[in-house]
Amino acid sequence: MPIRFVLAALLAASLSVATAQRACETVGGTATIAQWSEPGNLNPLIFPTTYDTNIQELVFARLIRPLADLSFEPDMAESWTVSDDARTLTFTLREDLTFHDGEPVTAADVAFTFTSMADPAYDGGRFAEISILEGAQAYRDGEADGVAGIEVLDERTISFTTVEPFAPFLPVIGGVYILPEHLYGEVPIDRWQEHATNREPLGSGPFVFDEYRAGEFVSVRAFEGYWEGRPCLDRLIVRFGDQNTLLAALLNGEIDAAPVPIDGASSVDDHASLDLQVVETLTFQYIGTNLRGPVLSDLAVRRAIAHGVNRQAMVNGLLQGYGTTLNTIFPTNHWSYPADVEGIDYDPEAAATILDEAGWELDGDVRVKDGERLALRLFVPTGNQVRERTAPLIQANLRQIGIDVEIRTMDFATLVTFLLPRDDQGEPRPVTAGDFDLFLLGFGIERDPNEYLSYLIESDMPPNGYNFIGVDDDPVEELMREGRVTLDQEERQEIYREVGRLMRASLAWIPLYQAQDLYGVSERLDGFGPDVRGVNVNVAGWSVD
Amino acid sequence: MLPFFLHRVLQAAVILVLVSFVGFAITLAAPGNALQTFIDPGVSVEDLRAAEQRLGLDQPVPLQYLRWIGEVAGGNLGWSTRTGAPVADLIGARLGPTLTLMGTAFAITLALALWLGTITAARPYSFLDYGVTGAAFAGISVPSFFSAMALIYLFSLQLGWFPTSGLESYAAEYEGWRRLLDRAAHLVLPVTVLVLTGTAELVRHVRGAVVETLQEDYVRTAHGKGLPAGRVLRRHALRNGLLPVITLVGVALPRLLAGSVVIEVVFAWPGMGRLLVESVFARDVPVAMAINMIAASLVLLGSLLADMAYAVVDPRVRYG
Repeated sequence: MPIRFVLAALLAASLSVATAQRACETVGGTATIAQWSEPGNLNPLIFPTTYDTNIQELVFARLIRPLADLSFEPDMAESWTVSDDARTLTFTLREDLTFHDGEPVTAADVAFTFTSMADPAYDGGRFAEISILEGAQAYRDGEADGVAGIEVLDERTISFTTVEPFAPFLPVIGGVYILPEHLYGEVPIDRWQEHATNREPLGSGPFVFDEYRAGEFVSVRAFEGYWEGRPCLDRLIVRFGDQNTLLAALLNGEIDAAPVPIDGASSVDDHASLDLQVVETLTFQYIGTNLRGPVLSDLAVRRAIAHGVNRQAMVNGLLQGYGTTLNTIFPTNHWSYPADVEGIDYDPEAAATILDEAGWELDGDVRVKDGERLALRLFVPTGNQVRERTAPLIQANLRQIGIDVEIRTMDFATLVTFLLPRDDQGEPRPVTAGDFDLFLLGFGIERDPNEYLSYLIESDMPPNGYNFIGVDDDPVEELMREGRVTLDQEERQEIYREVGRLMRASLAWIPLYQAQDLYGVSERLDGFGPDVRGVNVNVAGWSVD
Repeated sequence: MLPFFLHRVLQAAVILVLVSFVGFAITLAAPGNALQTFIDPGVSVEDLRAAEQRLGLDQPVPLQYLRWIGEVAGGNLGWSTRTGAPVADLIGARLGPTLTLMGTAFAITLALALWLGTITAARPYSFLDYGVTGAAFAGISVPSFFSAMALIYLFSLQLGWFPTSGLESYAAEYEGWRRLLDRAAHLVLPVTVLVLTGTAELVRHVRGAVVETLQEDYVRTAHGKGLPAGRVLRRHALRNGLLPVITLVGVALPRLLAGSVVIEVVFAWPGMGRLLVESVFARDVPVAMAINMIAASLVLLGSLLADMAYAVVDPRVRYG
């Protein structure tokens, strides 16, 4: 007997009835919002970044979609079932779904989308997400004609089978927008990026793609045939540009909603017709430590850094209070965060004592142990102004406890060449102790804590994965692997919380702060309400006066 | 004159090829490549590597160069590595807005600089001269991003006269003359900033050149013949004084198409400068190289045109 998500389906069904006659304040009109960078690819299967997804989610729809607590509700699928062995998920599509060109959305389109991700010619970077599907690797390697684990049962029913029970499989399904096979299937997969569909997308989401003017904006228009009822707005424009430029445009009434840099918060707050919205995110900033060298492999040094850096001052000063410190590698508002985790106090005296006891003795201004100076390079990627400004604070804080920090600022692409180094022939090679000492970077959970796996397991140290830091911690690795196959949510939660406690103890990532996102919204725009899922979560319900 | 210019064109072609190679090598010397900026928990390093190989980013620089120059020689500028868009389309879309902005600014700058330069040269060390000189120094000294933000603050946020940014009012969907007016309104502030800095630079050169020619014997002769002062100034002094200015104008030509990064960023103007900077940060080599090559061609063309202009303005100059 399959476990039926009857309750969830019923609940969602009743919700969807209520919203089919969407309660719009007004219907019609154009709203203009903004983002800080131009999208790169509008085909959702090509290396999506947040700036891409923000546009894609207007045009495309998926089988299921996340709720604010990151559980999932039906989207184009009206219900789903899980097999007894927990390896097969079967989704049933709603009736009468159509793409923007009027063609029906069928199980074949769903199968096409997921199968494309495993196509031998596909190189949009998302194969790994679905490599857990039975037969995906064989198809990818050219040893099979299709993915055995993707099965179309009828027009409206499709099943996915994984090689083993895979706990975060719903997040995987919920992260894939469905492409119309009759359009995207006409283009050779290895030419997808160059093809016009990558700039003029067509899906089954709430808005129909209208126009993309490079360097200026993307415009979309209401889809009358959207399954949830047409959006309240007739047209939505997403402009892109520099933070301060867009802030000025917002203040001048040329834009209805835009992200606001922290320095602009008060000007938005003081503005008569603008409202400042403070939004929680699942992204935090940390100091990465290269665990391979003699200095940073010493836990005492990492502890001293953690206690020697005044993180609260960053939150109070640089973030102007729009954020919080955090004590482990999971965002504080995510279910994986262990609320009972030991805090990290700012205590330079204790930090100095830790170093004294570990044998790091002051020699002038800088500590020395066995002839090794406690001098570290801090690599700082540009692109996040607040983060850049934390670097001199860290430097000054650590100087006080006898650690010499040299700041090296570089763009992100350059930082990557240190974290994922190459040899003289250009081949990826393992990281060495000399490649880097400390770096600043952000990390965010998009849908599931399994996303940390490649950052925390030994076999995924570069060149094989993203464990730049060199975490080699058996209990952490065991737990991370257990988290993938544990289906009971409570058990799973406890597993990740334990990872959080262990990572707090090892301080391989020294967590700094979790910033809130700020948005300025004009009085004219109703319903704008970003949350952890992103800026457009309820876009179909936005309306303008 | 013809053989001389043929020679120059050939020379230019050789220089272009050299520039292309050096430019390519320098662009690729920046650490990292386009795909490395996509690292993300959902993207495995194998998948990144596969994509890199398809784009040929793993090949040695000379090989990548040969492949690229081969395509370019065949008239194909390639595709953006970041977005997959044809490079020709990306540049084509920026051409109009860039020329509109830079061309308008340049025309006004030139007219203003010639006028102010001549009248201040005619009355050196007068109140007017000091005023213009002082303003020019201020114009050169104030960074353009600052004057841009000051203008936005004053004329958009405080007075509400002009829009802050963009090419036009996107939501309004104006048609016909209303659209033209709307676009013109969006042009005012960025053009003003460009004219302020541009005129400040140029006016000093014009003034200096005209002042110098006013000392010449033939100017005194012209005065002596009883020609009106205005005619002497325009026909004799200005025309001769223009020679060095022409060189500067020739040098300014590439800027017309290459755009101005700062102004385009501050005013969200979809110009060539922003495209270049964004493609450099994204390690988008085909786009960056195409813009480099266009800029290099324009520099060469600019100096060629300046040489031709000499022949037109100065009857003594003969190429043969």
